[in-house]
Amino acid sequence: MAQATNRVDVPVSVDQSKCIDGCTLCVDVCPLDSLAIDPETNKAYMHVDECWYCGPCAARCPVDAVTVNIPYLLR
Amino acid sequence: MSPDAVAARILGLLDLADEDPTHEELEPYLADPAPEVRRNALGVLSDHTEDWTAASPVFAAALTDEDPAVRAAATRLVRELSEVLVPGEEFDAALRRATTHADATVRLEAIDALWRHRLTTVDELTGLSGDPDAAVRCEVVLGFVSLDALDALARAADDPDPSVRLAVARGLGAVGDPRGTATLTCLAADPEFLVRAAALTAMARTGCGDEAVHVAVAALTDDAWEVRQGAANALSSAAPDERGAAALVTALGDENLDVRKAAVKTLGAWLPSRPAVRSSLESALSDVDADVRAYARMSLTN
Repeated sequence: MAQATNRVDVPVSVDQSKCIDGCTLCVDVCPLDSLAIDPETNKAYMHVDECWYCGPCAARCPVDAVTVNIPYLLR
Repeated sequence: MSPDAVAARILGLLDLADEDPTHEELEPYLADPAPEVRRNALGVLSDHTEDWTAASPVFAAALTDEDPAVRAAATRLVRELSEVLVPGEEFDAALRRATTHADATVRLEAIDALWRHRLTTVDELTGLSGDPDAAVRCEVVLGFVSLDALDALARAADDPDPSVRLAVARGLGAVGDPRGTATLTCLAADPEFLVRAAALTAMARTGCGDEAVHVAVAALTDDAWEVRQGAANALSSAAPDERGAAALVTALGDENLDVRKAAVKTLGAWLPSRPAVRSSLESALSDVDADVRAYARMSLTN
């Protein structure tokens, strides 16, 4: 599976300033295990560039830090 | 409260969520000073509660929370959980408080919950029908529909906003009472073409009396194809007569395929009592639209 090298231009972006250190809700709900916790910052990020655009990661985030960037043709 | 303190409270709530918390355990979070915590506590409560009688007033009360994000979460949950929420004294009182809230979305959701749970009356809804927001007034109309309140719907048909009049027309169709035809006849002359179309379409459910037939026949020459389609549908509930049949045969040559389809369906229903329309239906067998041809064939073979 392709690794996400650019953490901004990925299907799911996480606002690091809002993400809560210690929360793993988005990681837990992702059906593709595309999200992970950065061991250095303890914040979530998208580590593989795969997404079904299903949305629970954004819906369950307690601080609205997760945004699913749904492609125009899928909206 | 500092962002770190809020984050700590949310983490505490999420830890608690893993242990199937009771309503009492969640209460400190539901009354937390931080709106983010209150919002998440509502979500956790909806996920884990088994006592809906105790939980229902909490969701209703959150509709009037001071924070817009908490109110938005509450409105979503009250709608989503409609089938499991249990009405009771506190629940009803909280919904009634919400009907006078400054936020129109809250008022709308409260009215929606009141009529869906059968907690409201025509008099109460009439009192709410003067709301300045048209979307709220549309919700009031849905409440009238749930109570089959034909007189109240007739009064709402004079609303200055077309979306409310549209809701009235659709609502009268949903009620399906022939006594609603008089109001629909008035709405069939509405300046807004979508209202006219909805009123005529609704006549197919309420029945089409002599005056309504006259209106429907005239509407078959309306500029808007939606209205012409509605008129052809309306005539399906009318007694077959020469005037209507002639207008529908003309509509078979309409430039819009949906109008032709509606006309062919109505003429098909009229065929047993007016065999003279058979030749017109036979000519529709060569229509350029497959649906029109199919409905014509069905009418002629059944």
